[in-house]
Formats: sequence, structure tokens, C-alpha cells
Amino acid sequence: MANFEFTQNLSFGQYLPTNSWFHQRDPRAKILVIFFLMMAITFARNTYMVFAGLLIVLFIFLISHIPLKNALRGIRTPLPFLIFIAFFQLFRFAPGADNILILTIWSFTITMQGLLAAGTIILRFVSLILTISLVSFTLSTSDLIYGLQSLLKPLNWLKIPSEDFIMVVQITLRFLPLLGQATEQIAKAQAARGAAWGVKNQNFKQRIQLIIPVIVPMFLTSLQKAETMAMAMDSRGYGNHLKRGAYRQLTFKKQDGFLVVTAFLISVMLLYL
Amino acid sequence: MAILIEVNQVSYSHPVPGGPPHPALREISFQINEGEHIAIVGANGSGKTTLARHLNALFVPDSGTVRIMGLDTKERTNHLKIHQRIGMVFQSPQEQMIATSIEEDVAFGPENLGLPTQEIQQRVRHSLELVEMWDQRTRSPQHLSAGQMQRVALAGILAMQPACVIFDESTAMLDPFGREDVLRNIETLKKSGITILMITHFMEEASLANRIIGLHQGRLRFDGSPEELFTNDKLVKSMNLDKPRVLWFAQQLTPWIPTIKSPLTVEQFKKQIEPRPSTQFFVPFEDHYFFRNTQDSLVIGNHISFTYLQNTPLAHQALEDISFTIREGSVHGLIGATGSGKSTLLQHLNGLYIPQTGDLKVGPFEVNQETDLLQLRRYTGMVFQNPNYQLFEQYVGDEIAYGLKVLGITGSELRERVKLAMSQVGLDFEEFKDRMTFALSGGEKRKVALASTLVLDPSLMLLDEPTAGLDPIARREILGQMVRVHNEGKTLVVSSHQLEDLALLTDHVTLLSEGKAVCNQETEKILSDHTLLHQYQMIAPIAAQMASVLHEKGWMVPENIIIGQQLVAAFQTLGEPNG
Repeated sequence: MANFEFTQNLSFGQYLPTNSWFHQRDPRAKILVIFFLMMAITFARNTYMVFAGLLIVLFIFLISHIPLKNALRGIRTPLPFLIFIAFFQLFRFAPGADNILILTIWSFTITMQGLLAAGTIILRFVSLILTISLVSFTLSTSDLIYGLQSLLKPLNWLKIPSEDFIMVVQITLRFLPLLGQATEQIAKAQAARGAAWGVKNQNFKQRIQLIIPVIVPMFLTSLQKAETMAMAMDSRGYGNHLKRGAYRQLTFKKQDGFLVVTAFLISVMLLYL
Repeated sequence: MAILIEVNQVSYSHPVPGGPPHPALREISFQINEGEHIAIVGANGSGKTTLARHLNALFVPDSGTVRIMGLDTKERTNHLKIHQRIGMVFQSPQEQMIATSIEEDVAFGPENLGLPTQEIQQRVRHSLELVEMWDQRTRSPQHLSAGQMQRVALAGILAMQPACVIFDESTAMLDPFGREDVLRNIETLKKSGITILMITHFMEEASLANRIIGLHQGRLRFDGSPEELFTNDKLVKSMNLDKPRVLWFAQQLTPWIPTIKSPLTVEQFKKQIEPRPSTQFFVPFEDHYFFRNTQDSLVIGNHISFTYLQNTPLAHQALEDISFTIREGSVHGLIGATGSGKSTLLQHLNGLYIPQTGDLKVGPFEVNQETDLLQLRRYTGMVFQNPNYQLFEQYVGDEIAYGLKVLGITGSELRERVKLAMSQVGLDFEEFKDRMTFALSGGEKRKVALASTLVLDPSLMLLDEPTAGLDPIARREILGQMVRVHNEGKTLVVSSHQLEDLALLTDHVTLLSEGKAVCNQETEKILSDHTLLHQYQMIAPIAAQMASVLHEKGWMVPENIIIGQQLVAAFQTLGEPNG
């Protein structure tokens, strides 16, 4: 029984380095492609266009050699929730001339439009979840950070310190597993001295009562860890006012440009057709 | 030789919220030349780390000055130059990793220096190759062992091309091989002219330096060569330190081998002994020199396997088909390199994990999904490796009382039992009950953790690395308490990298490697088997190493020697030395 494996629920960076053509593209290009697709799928009005969006996302899965099994795992958890939302869509519309009535249960009516809306909402969310999972499958954490850093650079003209913002993202990504481990250790220490962790047949209230005493020490140890990390960063020269160098230099090739332009055009089509 | 660091009359106090500041350094002065290898020693809380942090401008003195290559640390504009020239490897490997991949973490320093990309890439490659981590450069730091993380941390410093590297107890959390690894890297750095400063609790490591700086209660008590310090028994004792064990044992052998002249390392010991013209034989030891325990088994494990994150892409098998027994009333040791599954196995014994396959019997309990875990955990107490995670109450008294309160014990019984447990570990009830847990020293935290488990009066005690990171005196105290607890009739299971401790404490040892049990035998058999230990990345206790050196030189001492007393006892069977 995996009672104490808190870290597993933080499944960050399930990066699948298949080294496909899509993987080899510039991180900025990949971020933009995924961003355009997300926008298009979120705001497309036409159901067929949402469906087209789904096909395009699946096409990217195909060309980046990611087994669909991995992708579907991400959908399983939110699926009951999606069905719940879609269920209410069924009853949303009143039957009319151009809206065929399919079924009446007491005073609730299920219409063609309602059925379509329910289908669209499931389709839209499934496509979105798949698109977002593309981020973790095709962009390594460092790709993501370097890509964002480069894309957000123009913000510096507006005097917004984009580099500091990226550093915050980076450290957060680094810190989450540490936090998971700390929580695990504290919960174990309390369990070893009689707290009912991992004991079966507990009600919701008992579970909550277990969690509360873990939170305060978790914050304390996190603060200590953060302090050490700040010290380590300081001792390696972070926070001086020189311009920072970069370990990786991204090169934007013609193919990348082609990919971004194609993705942009397709997204516009999805939005306005 | 050029002066690298100049410390002049430095005093520093830690600010305490709502109280008078706590003085950590008092009027310290010394100089460090380029290319020196210096060890900083002192008991827990003597100011070693605070001093080190002054030397790379992380802290600035309250009074006095620190100059690094002539640059005053008080001037903020000098800090970048100082950080670049003086690097620091911290104790805890995890928290000094900043980036999400190894190569980018190493690049962090050079990036801060604002170097061009090509230069950064060259430096990253060069320093990762130096610590032999280049082929793993794209991995995420969180999946590395502690030893590997320390290597990456060192590479991150080297990439800044420092003149001096400070190791702040960087070996405290490592297994023996990880430690050797750090020491080997230090040798390489020394050869390339880099100044080395290391803070350590291992006197054997300190003996490798050319010079020792000894602190006691924030004052500079000693500045000289290792020989000078360790041959001065009174000084060593007054600073709450210990001699290197080699010296300790060797001094007792001098009546029989007069050529021995205060060796500090096994190497020196070896050099000082002349090969005997004729072999000297010894009588084998009788059984009473070893602990023997013939009682029934208290813990029986059969074919236990356990996989973390089962059924996920990150699944990792930690235990594979492990079978072992632990006798009632014994002290049982678990050894093995980092990641061999010691902690996981230990956590099965009190039901924090449940075996996925196989059977485990702990005392009256069968450990499986149906076990009453609360009863099992009352029967087996566990003291974890890192006391920082283990103490979660604000005050020492509440911390120790936690387990009893969960059981619903209150009032005078609670008070009496807390008092008893505190006296068992040598903490004064009145003095400590209202102390803040997080402000305790490392040794005190261990004692509180031990007391908070003892208070529940478990029959079986599990201890995970009970002495890691402790100074020699605190370590001896904790070991003494473990012996006392054992003498009161409890069974102990101890996992440790410190084979020295296990040699003193345990009667049986289980050796784990990559989740499998390699063997389960009497302590002296395993710990004196150099080939076996080496094969599984362990290093024999000092006494066993000295015994094998003596063998080479024609002194055929019994082969199963693992502690110093046995070594001396063996020589005593020869009778008084003649001449």
C-alpha cells in the first residue's frame, strides 16, 4: 500500500524523449504551437472545428511517437467530472422548431442541441487535456524554462523582470518534490509514534485530523530548506546586477518558423470557420 | 606564498528574535595561504559553519574584518568576486541543487558571472568530466544518490574556477564510498593548486589536512598541525573532540611494536611497522570476546519484496526477495550502500510499509493488510535518520509527550513518563522541557527523538542512522544510550553507514545490496571480511583494517578482529613485551 508516497502524485516532467521531428524543434516553437492550439480549442465555436482540433492534437502525438496509452492516462482522472458537467448540458436548451426533442423525463427535456453541447464540452476538454499533456511529453523542464525565458524577454522593455519570474518557476519545480519528501517524512514520524496514518476504515473527519498536525512542521522545514537554498544560490553568485549568461543558446531554424506559421494559420481557421 | 584569506579579530552574534543575540564567534584571527589544506574541527555548536560562512561573504562580521585576496567582505560590491573565488559545498546535498537538470545546475554559477555561452558550456563539460558525471548530465538531480549530488555540487563550484573550496560537513550524509569519493576529489583539487578548507566531525578526515583550526565555544582554541593536536590528550578532551581511532588503538600497541609513532591514518600505521623476521602467531579468540545471542527469533522475514510507485512509469523496486531473522534481545545491524534498501526494510518492521509479497512476522504480529497497525507501531518504536523531520512540536516536553497523548494518557502519569524517558537519554527534565525543539543542537535533537520513542516503551526499537552528523562526543553518548536501552531487555535494529558503531553494538548484521539480502551473519564475520565489504561498497572498521595490516607484516592476529579492544586483547595474550 502506497500510503506515504506523496511524491507520486506530483507527476511533473513525464518527459518522453523519443527524439522525433517534433521533439527536435526549438522549445519556443513548441510552446507557441501548443499555445495557439489551446487558444483555438478553447474558443472555437463550431463543434466540427473542436473535433478538427482534436485530430490535429492526435496527429502531433503520432508524429512525436508518443503512445496514445500515455495520453489517455491523463484523461482518466478528470473523466467523471467531465461527464458530470456534460450531463447538465443535456438539459440546457428548450425544444423548438430547429431543435428536435429527443426525450422527456418529467419536466426535463433532452434536445438535439443539448446533446450536441454535451458532446462538444467533452470533446473540448479532452482535446485541451491532451494538448496540455503535450507540454510535459515533448518539452523537458529545461526546454520549458529556456523557452519561456526567451519568449518572455520582451517583457523586460516594460520593466517587468522576466528572468526573476523564470527563476521562481524553476525553483518551484525543483522544490515540489522536496516538499513531497518532507511531508512524507513528517507523516511517517507521526505514524511511528501512534498517529493513525495508513490505518484503514477512517472517516473523512479523522483523515483531516491527521493532516493538520503535518502542515505546521512541513512549513517550518520548507522554510529551513528555502533558507539553505537561498544561501547556496547566494554563494554561487546569484543576485549580482550583471547581465546573466546562458548555458544554452536556442537556435530558431526555418523548420521551426514553418511549424509556428502553420500552427498559427490552422488555429485561426479553427477559430473563425 | 600569497595570503588568500585574512581573518582579523572577527566576532559575530546570531540575532535571536525577542532575545539577546547569541554569540557565535569571538575575536577570531588567522590567515590562510594559497594552496593550503585546512580542516576546521570543533564540537557541535562551536561556530565552525558560522566561521566558514564568513570566509565566502555569506555572513559579514559584527566586528573585525575578513579579507579575501585583499577584498573586504564588508563591501557589498566585492561579493561577486569573493563568491567566484571561494566556493562552498554544503552539508545537505538536496538543497544546493537549483536547476532541474544536472548540466544546468552546474551552469548556474557561470551564468551568474555573465559569461558567454560557449565559455559556460566548456566549463560545465570540463567540471562534470572531472567528477565523472558528464554522461548523466541530462538527469534530474532528485533521482541521484546523495553521493552523486555532492559530486554535482562540487562540479557547480569548480565551474566558477575558484581559488578555494570550502566543504561544510559535505561527507556527513554519505555512505563510506561516497565519502572516499569526496576525499579523492579533494586530492585532485589539491594537486591543481586549489586551497581546501573542510569542516568535519571525522577526525580521520581531519588528519589528512596539513593544518587544523580548532574552535571551542566560538573561540579559536588551536591552530597547528594534526600531529600537534591529536598527541595532546588534554587539549583534545577540553575541546570535546576525539583522537583518530588509528592513533587511539596504535598507542596501546606501542609496548609490543615500538616502531609505532603516533600514526593518524591507516597508511601511516602501515609505514611505521617493520615486517617481522619471523611470523608471530596468536591464539584464536574464545567466544566470550564476541556478543552471542541464542534466543528465539523475534522478527522473521520470508521472501519480502517491495516496489515503490508500483504500476507507474516511475516504479522502482526497493526490496527483492529478502529473507532474514532477528533474535529476541539482540542488537541487529543493517548495512549496505546508499539505496540498498536499508531504510525501506526498517520501515516494514513497524508497518509504515507492508510487504507486497512474502511474509513478515514481528513479535506477535503478522505484518499484512489486516494487521492492527496502531498496535504494531506501539510494539515497535522507530527513530528516523534526520531528526529535523522527526520533531514537530514546538517544545521538547510536548514533543516527547506526543505519543502518550495520542494514547490518551494525561496528568501526572504523562509527566512522570516523560521525565523518565528524558532521564534515560540524559536530558534534564527541568532544564529541557520548555526548550524550543528547533533551536537544539544536532546531538540534543537525536536525544529528544530517542526519548520520544522510548517514552512509549516499545519492545523492539528501530534506529535509522542514529549517529549521522554528530560530533564524536555526542556520538559516543548516543551509542552509550543504545547499549543501555539494550541492556534493559529491548531488541534493537540499527541501520548505519558507520561500521565502527555496528562493530561495537551489534551481534548480527544483514548486508543488503540493491534491494537483496547478501548475507545475514555474526557481526565479526561480515565486518572482518574485507573482500566482501569492498565488493558491496563498504569499508571495514579501522580495527579490522589495522588487523589486516598487521597480518601483512607478520603479526598473525586473529582474523575476526573488528574493534580496538579486541586488537589490544590479542596482544595482551602474548604477555608483557620483553624489552
